[in-house]
Amino acid sequence: MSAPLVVSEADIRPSLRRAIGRSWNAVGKPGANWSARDRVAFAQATVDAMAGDEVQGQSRTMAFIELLAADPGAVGKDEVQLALSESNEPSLVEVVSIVSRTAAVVSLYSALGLELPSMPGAQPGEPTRDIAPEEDWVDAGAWLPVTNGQSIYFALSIVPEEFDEWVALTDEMYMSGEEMASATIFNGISRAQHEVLASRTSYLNECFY
Amino acid sequence: MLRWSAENLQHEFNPKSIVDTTQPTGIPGGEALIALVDATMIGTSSDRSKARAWIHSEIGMDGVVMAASTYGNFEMMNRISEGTGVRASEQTRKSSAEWQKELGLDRFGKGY
Repeated sequence: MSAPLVVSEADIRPSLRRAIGRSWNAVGKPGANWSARDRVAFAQATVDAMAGDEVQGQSRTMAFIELLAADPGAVGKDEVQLALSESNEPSLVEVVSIVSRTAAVVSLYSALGLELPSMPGAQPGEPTRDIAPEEDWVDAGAWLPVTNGQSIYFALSIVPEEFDEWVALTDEMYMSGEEMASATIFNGISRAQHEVLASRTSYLNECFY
Repeated sequence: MLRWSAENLQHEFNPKSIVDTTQPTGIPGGEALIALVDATMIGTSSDRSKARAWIHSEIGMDGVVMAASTYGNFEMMNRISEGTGVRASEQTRKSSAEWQKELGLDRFGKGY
């Protein structure tokens, strides 16, 4: 191996920086089901759990967040059912989205050796209640409903705002849906190099995905 | 997916390298990329720094950033999949079933 390398935020391409900033700041806005204050608390709990620190809060939702953040491979149907006992499907989809997007940014910054941005302030306002109509929900054999078939692409689809935030982030952090059709795409690394990273990450997390 | 992209780029991907880091990946820079994932998930800040330098020497600075970004993306995707119970598509599962079983990865996915 070579000598240590220092990376700065300026090394991150502008479109990726903007996508990270968008996702991070969206946590500080009221969501479809939760207040901004709740959402910021969920994101902070994710950061704390990933760092091995104590998570504030005693609810089943917080226990679910702690497990999903720190040990995603340990989450199964039972844990989701337990969290649903004090919540509902759209609320839990929003929680999964916040935990997952926060984990993405925490992981990226950690891998680059950068200091994590400070948590956004919670903006005032009521939850938007922008949820896909229940008649459009589909039981695709997952723990939570989707609005289409069994594909990871639709995992957050019953909460359109969260689906949109996820697409905006993954398009920049990984590649867009169109780019995924190409085996020869190169965006700093090759498609095969992307997949090595994906496979090793899923293996260490003991995740089937 | 990995086998497909490797074949298209005419690389001889070694699937065992995903579960055994003593094995070569067959992908250019693959060992350095795995080192970054390992260093971030189970290593120290010194390990991460060395892994970044390794990727930089093999792929360049854009490669360092995109490697970290892709790793972060899959930390996200793992949590979306495990938290909702939505798995990869039927097509993806079928195409990778053989080597997932060979590598023992089919035991993952609690409660599916």
